[in-house]
Amino acid sequence: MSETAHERALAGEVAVVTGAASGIGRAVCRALAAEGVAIVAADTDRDGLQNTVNDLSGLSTARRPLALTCDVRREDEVERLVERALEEFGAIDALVACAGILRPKGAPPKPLIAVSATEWDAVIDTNLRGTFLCNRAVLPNMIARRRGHLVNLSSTSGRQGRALDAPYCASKFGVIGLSEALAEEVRPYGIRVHVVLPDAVATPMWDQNGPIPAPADALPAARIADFIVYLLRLPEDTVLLNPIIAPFRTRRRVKKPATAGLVELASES
Amino acid sequence: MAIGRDRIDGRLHDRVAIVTGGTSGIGHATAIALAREGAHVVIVARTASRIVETIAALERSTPAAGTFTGVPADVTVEEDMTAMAERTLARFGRIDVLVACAGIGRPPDADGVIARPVAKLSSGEWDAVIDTNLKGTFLSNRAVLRSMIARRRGDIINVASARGAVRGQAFAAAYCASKFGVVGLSQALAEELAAYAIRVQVLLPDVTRTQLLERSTLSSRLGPLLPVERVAAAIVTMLTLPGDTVLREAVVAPMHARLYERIRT
Repeated sequence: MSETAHERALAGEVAVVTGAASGIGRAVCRALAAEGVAIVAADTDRDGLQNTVNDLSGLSTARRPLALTCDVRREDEVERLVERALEEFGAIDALVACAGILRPKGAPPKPLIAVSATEWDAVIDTNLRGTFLCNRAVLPNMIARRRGHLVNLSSTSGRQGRALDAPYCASKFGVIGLSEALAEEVRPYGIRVHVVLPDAVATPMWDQNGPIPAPADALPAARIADFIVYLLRLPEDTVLLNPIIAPFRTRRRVKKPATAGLVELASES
Repeated sequence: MAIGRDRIDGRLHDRVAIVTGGTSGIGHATAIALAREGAHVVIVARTASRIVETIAALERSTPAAGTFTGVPADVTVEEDMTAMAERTLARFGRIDVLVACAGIGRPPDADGVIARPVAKLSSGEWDAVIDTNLKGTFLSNRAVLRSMIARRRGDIINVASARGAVRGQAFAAAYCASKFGVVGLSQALAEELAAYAIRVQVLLPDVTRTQLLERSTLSSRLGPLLPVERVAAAIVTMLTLPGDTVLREAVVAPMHARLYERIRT
């Protein structure tokens, strides 16, 4: 029949979302809750988590979310998060691992030669080790049930390194490697692993960027969240590999003479 | 707007869409998917009789309101591609969408399977594959641009290949070169045309269950293959993304296939 007939309905499923207090994580909570998914929202930011929970309370489809403070860098806290999620909901169908930082708080962009080992560790620990720990923690339940779906957040900086943010780029390259390796391992259990590479998204992460503002056409976080819902709804036999979701930059005007030929073409018709 | 889960009829309501390679494989499935979403579909392929069959299939398979027509044309022939655009404009007054699916794995008259070591690859075979897959994409893209630029809108989806354009594969040099080329062409064109609000995206399907493959001996070695309908659904998704969003080089793959496994022949 139609393509949409193959799509999975998500209502009644349980999703753990890390980095849920802001940005893409909060938008994912909202998009999944709107689908009737029970949300386990995790973040280190207690106030932000509360705002996310308040945000969900307006949705008629939402089941009561479980909000837990959790530092994804800490093995014991991540294990505890998963235990609490299982106690509350009995199963975990999806993990969306959004917890990530661009740099340690207050640190400006800097050349690698000036990056301290502590700064390096802070970024790698949250973005890469945190993704590893969260992925690993939800797997026993998913393997036992022969189903599950992991969505990890990389970035276009996970495909192309950019000057002055080497730790971030390294962490996001790492998330792709981790995700691809894991995808191959857990495929026999019917567990899907997706890794998403957003380009510029308007999130509080830009606040860390000091003098560099988010580009005017940065995507709203809801675009990424809707795309992740789409991935979760894909038919069981299909995966999208390392998709890049990016702003369609129509506002960037190419100046003459680069477009002269095209303008002529257009005016001829 | 949410992605990919609106009502099935009407997400592309009244859009005028050209599909090259529209009588078989991914192109055929895409034509059906676009028709089901309410688009007017122009089928472009070399063989008129198969266009007639495809249009009949579109009319059978859809409740939608679109009009279906065809242009017998060869994507490697410049005049044919010009005629494709002109006839579509004459009929519908505009071109909203081009999906460039026309592609070959090897020349139709070549012996044996797709596999062809470079040492034994004739320049005739090389040219045939590059002409259809790469030059054909260039010519079909270029043909629709004048009208899209004038209207400051349009969507182009070019179909490359995951196995052919993520990394080169032994014994498929011409195919891989052509599909890498399609990605390069698409990226360049996307940058050129963004200022005109024309969105160019390229999709990289993994090996699909198409005649192209079933005619070869590879199909038994590859495990589960992706149904062409999944690729068509991905194309619809890319066409119905919110206007501020693009997907770049999306690879759509079967869940259980081993993607980067070397194809041995």
